[in-house]
Amino acid sequence: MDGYDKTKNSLQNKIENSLINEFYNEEYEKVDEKLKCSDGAFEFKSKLNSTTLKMAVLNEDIFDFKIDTLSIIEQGESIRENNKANKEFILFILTSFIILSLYAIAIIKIDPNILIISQIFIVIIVPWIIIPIAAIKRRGSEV
Amino acid sequence: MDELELINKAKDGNKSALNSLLKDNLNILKGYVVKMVGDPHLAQDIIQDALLKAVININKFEPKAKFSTWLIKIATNVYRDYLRKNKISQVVEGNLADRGKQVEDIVIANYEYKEIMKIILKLPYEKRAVFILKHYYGYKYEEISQIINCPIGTVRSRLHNAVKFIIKEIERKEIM
Repeated sequence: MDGYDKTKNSLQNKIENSLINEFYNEEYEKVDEKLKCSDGAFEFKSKLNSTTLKMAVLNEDIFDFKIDTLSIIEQGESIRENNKANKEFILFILTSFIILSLYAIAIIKIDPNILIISQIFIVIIVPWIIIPIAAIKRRGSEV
Repeated sequence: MDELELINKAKDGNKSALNSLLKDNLNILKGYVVKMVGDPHLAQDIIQDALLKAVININKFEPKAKFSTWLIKIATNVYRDYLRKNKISQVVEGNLADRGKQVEDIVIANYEYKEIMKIILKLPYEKRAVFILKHYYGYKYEEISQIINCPIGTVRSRLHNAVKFIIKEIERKEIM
């Protein structure tokens, strides 16, 4: 292919691209009006129009299959619940690990009496805090 | 009830609103996936997977774009993952013949439908997606670039190549 043919092809390519953009209502590079009125441009335009007519055949909805959206929603909700439960479980394990580790470090490094003090605190004080909170929460959910 | 209201209710856990939202957008999703895939059985699986992902991630949806656009984006990703997993080569003639046969079972009398579908299936999936979104759904280049995550220039050149290829194939097959 010589230089002249290459230039001609690239020009034709440019016109075709511009016509495609114009056809689909997109911004297009301005090309010389003379070139847009050339035989090649007219021919491409007419091919574009007849192709569109041919492609319209795919607009027909010939495949009739049913999709049960409600069962997909149920499935999705159960997957979401499972994911949530898994995340909560991992969070619970991590938090427990961190608390118990800090507790063990405190007993070893600070004072072993922390173990006895904390046990007394957990047995005597904590129920006085947890039971009223649980009762208020239950009453709130019943209302 | 408008789409935004349905989306908000669906995010709050209202199943009926979510169901209406999915049903309202099912036809556009179905049309897109059937054109992309060319095989009704595979299309059904991809639509179901896409809807399932949409249900699971409904809280992540931001109503900047239309809900149908979001569904199309999910379906495109599901199909891309399917192609990767199954390592389907888009240009293998035998594969196309198989797909053609599947279409043929359902549309025996529809020669043109089958031929046009075969031409569309010959396009690599990226170009096919761009062409379908532009030609059948009138999306702007910018919207398409967001759906398939690529620059606008790439969308433009993919559309140009796809259109030229389709014209050439239609001429070659003498459907024109």
